[in-house]
Amino acid sequence: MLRFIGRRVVIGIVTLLVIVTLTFLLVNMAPGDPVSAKIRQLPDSARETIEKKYGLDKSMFERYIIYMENLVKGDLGDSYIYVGRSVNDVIAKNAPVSGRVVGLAIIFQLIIGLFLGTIAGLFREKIADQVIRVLVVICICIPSFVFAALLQYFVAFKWQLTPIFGWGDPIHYVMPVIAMTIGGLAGYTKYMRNSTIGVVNEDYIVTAKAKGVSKGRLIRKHILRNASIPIITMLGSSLAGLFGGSFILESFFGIPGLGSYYVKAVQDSDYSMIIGMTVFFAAFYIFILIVVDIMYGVADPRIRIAKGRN
Amino acid sequence: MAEKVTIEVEEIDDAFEIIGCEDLDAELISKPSLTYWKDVWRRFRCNKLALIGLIMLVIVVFFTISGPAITGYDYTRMDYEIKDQGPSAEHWFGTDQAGRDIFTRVCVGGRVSIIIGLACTTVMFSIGAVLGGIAGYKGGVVDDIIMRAVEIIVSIPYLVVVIILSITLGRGMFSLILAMTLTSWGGTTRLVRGQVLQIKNQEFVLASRALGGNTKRIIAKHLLPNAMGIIMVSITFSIPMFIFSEATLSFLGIGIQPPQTSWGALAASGRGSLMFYPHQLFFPSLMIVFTMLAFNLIGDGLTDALDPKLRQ
Amino acid sequence: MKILEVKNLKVSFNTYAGVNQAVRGVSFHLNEGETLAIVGESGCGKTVTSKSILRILPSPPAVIHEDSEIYLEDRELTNLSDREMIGIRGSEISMIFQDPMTSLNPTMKIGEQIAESIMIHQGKSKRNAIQDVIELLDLVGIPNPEARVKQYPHEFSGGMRQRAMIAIALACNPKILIADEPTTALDVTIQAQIMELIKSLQKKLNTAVILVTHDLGVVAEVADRIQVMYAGEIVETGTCRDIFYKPKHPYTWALLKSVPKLGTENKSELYSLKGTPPDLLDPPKGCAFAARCEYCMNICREKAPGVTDIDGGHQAACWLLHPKAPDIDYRVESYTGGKTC
Repeated sequence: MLRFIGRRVVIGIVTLLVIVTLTFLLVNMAPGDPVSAKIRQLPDSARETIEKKYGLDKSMFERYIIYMENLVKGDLGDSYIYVGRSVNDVIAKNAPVSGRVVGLAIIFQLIIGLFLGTIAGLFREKIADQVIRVLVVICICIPSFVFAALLQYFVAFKWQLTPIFGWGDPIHYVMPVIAMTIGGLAGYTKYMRNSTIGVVNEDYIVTAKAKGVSKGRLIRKHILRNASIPIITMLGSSLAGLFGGSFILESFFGIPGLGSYYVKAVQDSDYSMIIGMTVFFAAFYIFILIVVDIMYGVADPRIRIAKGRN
Repeated sequence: MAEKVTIEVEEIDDAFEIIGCEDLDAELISKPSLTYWKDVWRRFRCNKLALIGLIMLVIVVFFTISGPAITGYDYTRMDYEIKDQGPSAEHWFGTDQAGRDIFTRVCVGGRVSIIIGLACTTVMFSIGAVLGGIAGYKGGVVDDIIMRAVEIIVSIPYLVVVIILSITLGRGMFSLILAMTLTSWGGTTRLVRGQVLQIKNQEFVLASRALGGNTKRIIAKHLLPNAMGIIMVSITFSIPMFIFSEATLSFLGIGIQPPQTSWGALAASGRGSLMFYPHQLFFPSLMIVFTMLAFNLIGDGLTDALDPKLRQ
Repeated sequence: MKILEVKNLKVSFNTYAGVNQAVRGVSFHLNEGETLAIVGESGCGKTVTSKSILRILPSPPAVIHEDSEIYLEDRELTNLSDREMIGIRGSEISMIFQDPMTSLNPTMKIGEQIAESIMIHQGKSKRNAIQDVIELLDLVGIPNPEARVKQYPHEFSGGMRQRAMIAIALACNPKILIADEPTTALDVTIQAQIMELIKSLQKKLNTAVILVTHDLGVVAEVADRIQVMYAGEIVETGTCRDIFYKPKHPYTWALLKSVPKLGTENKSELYSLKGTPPDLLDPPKGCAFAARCEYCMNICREKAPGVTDIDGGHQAACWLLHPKAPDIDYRVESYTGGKTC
């Protein structure tokens, strides 16, 4: 088991290094050397501090080393545009907001998606399944911003059930969470349906039936237990987007989360902020992927025990 | 106990003369056999939703190509006199903030969106097929290197790469296509490699080679169609995925820039007046949904038609 | 004493290509404590027959005809509700299946899977049931049962998994055990062990066994009575001796001829029956075996033969048994190997 984790961690670190390096190179190779252009706009004192800190007068290679040194210390960088604001500050302030919205959405997606998917799988080709499948296709095809727009238009504007913009009260969570949940629901439902159908056709389900296992017990202990294991992979992808994966919706609803800040940084061309946040997102994403692999191993005894022997 | 049956045997001539069975063909299989693709097409045809998807796609393509010719409007022509009008007989989708006919713009934007979808899919599959094929066929160290690279690519959150690349290469169609393709070839490589390995490892391929049989013909006739089927399904789902991504990115302002337009860009420009002139956002969005629905229905239909396990 | 009686069992499957009549009027009985073997080639309907007794066929495509009756002692099974059937499965009638590698739940410990039967039908708690399970594992010959109880199926070999399956089936001491090709997926040496195990357990627990198989060699060792199925019907039935020494149906002859025998001359060709069974979407009007029968007569193609009593329980469905039909002198090559029925 340890060897298994170890290997994943090593690959994770390598991936992160690749991403960081590529990001650094790409941004610094942008035509017109946007970095120095931005720096020139700052007041003199600030400019000197930054130039000294990042060694902007030095060669790219030396700048890279400085950058990596800072990174290892945990310093993700400072904004080139808003003096005194560092990436770490922004993350500390905005990440929890994103986390709450996305987290809620994931919980709903998981619960509703698993439920619908199981029903669709168990009642295959019957009415319930057909209806669910149509809903799923429609959800997949509607981009999140369209959902958001529809919600804003009808729920907030026409029916005045929630405020159109703003943040701070629980009511402000309603529209974004609904929009996010509907968007991601389809994936869980589809996946769970296919997983359930696969399991229902397995031999061991026939064995269980021949034992006299009741329908309820069959679904709980035999079908669900096996069908939900592959969902862990999907859960991992969702969790990886916990802090930054929802930028469209955050921008749309004006939520002060990490995602919308990232979009703003791109629109402002605040390059060091962009690099710093990118590194954060990538690192978190990789971390979650590793956690998911471990969780999968724990859930599926075939993997757990085989790996343990190694 | 089963009943014994007394039967009138007199009416049959020479009822008990033994005639054997040489003249009968006992190995006749009664259902007519279909070639692989005919069978797939038959099953696809029977799937109503899939056919609807196909029709929808044809409609979209038709209007994207000939829409502007039908309406006669120039998609760039601005006329502030008629701005922000809702749908009417002269302007089927209404007009935007600068008085341009939205229907024409949607058709033209559609060309960009669909072309991007097709272009990205083509590039992604070319890279994926080549790399996946090599990895699967050669195996060994080459395979290892390619698969490690894939693992790394797959772990990178794709929107991040898109954004970074758009900084370096500037915004616009080229950097968009490049960015989206670079992050997605990983999945295709794995898919193709998986298929190649399956073909390689079929036991009968080994047996056939050992006995001097014509392996190439077997592969071409039986295994390639199966592999191609899976790849076709993947292509059918990739196109809408790229259209979707392009729409999202353009909506954020990081994709297609003016004077070019796409569905996402149109939606973005309509977003500001959502409360007052909702049609400016909804019509481009509707096109996106419609097209994606078409591709997804076709893709689902193909999957069901190709999957032997889902046969009824 | 009869514990199972099947009368006129007809099962069909609704497929997109039509109605497939898998079982076309099968009648037989099973006595307490005896072993009845159902033999036939793939597709003859033997598995469908056995699964119909427990009613575990997938129900939208599969349909058991109204006229069919299945009596477990004096209860008629085809009309029971689902709930009542659930009470019978695993406790009065049990079944084991062909492929032990896929027939066990991979995410449930073996102990729990066996205990499940006991917990459901005898109402015991898990802890109490586990005690019984350990004894059962010992009974089926799995060493170190206390440790094995906590393991998962993938930690067991094929033969051991089949033993675990047998433990599951016998956990509640059922009156009837249906074994559907229990040894087909196993190595030959393990096959012998498993058959030995079934035989000894049957004696110990006085369970009646229905053994579904296409392997005549296995049958000779364990069966009391044999019935031969072809194309959804029973073509011959009798005691072991009847079938091996005095077979009367051409299909039975073909089956016996195709078993390779010790002492056969080197380089003589193995006999194989040409052709394939008829398509049951559109069953033939005469005898189903006519197209492959070297003794086929004109009447065979026109009308299906009824069942003829030969001697005691020995019956066969063949026109050759009609008084007007020519006598066929089928010589039984002695089935060497020293096996006796």
